[in-house]
Amino acid sequence: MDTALPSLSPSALADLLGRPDAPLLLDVRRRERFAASDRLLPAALHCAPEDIAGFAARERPRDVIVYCAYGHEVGCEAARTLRLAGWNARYLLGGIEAGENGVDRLQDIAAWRSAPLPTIRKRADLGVTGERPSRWITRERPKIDRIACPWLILRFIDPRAKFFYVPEAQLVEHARELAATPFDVHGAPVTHEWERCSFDAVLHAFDLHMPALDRLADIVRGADTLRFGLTGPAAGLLAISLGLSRVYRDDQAMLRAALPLYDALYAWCRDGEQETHDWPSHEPQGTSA
Amino acid sequence: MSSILPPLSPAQPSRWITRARPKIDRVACPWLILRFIDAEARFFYVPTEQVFAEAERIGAIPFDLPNAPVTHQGELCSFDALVAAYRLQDLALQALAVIVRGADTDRLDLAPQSPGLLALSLGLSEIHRDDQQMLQAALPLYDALYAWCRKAQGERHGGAPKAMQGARA
Repeated sequence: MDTALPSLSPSALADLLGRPDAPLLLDVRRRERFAASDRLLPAALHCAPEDIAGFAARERPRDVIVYCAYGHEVGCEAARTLRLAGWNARYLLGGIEAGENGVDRLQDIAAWRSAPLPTIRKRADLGVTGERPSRWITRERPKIDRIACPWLILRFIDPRAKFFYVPEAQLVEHARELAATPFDVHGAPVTHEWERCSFDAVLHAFDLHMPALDRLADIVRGADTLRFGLTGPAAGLLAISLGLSRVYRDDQAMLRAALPLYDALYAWCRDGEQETHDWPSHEPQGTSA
Repeated sequence: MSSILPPLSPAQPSRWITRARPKIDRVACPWLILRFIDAEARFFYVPTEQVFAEAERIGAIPFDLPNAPVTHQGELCSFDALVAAYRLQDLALQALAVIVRGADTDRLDLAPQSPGLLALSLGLSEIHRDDQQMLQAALPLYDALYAWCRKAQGERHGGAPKAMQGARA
């Protein structure tokens, strides 16, 4: 472990996951080890150690967190290479395995494993392995699920994902041409199942478990399937989504405009759910109203 | 209309001032002012104890705090006060006012959309610590909600997707 090199703990990383301004998450495990693993950290890209220098030179420098298997020399070396190329790189303490038995200190391993980081399952069949941008396709004129799923994919599965909205009659043809995965349409690998919507299906497909995302899933499902009793904010999400769809006739513009709303809803699911807002509490202390 | 309030589309950009860390009413009112009263209006968010002194210094109208010319009255919130003061006769705005009032005064039963507006507003406030950024981020939300109030109130969303044509399910 290199003490001079900036690092961060799994719990500090957990707090950053899904945020719109989250740093890039780079999986730098060696090729064989990466291939043998069926998990990734959420929204991570893979770059093998020997390709880091090229990646660092090719891409625009930004905030990045690298992780390897255990947070030892592989991750540190990658972070060092990135920093030399002008990136603000940190490495994840403990790596994706949260420490190596017999090597890392017991109390470190215990701390790292006490609140395990969420991970996602690689799904090569859906185009998601962390190695190249995934492509997704669905029906045009999105309202809720076809916006919520792209948000979920961009923030937690693949930040480089591309989305295509096409007329339903041409979906199969376009999916083949574009090599894109259909979603939120019958017969697609990711779609509604019984009372569960496509947002639920994405969480299930990638085996992603986070309490705040489960709360958000309830809201999306309630809005998308008109079951407002599921959770308070569902009717409001539906109204705002239908309104956005009126404001934005272009589907990509609709998606861009809606992403910050889902960021806000997710922030509420994560942090703000206990908070209420009412006029009497506005009263500043000591003011004669 | 209280004489202190500017006319519609004033010759000089109007200035408005309120307490820092806006969540609902202090963002909804600026949206209403920008879209219906003065597109060039400017907004200032300052610590509560400085609102009136700053208002005097920069020539701004205080809103959404006790003793301000635009503020809560009884069960009505500042958004209601502006709609009434400017006699904005728009059914969609009346519907939006109920949603805002429900979210702002913790009466989430007033409109089914109020809890969602509250959740989104608190979430935006969590993300945007800068009040001007919060305002900019919230404007599209009110545009969308107003668009829904205007045209989409009767519109339903289809729920489950239709069949993928030609797909072998």
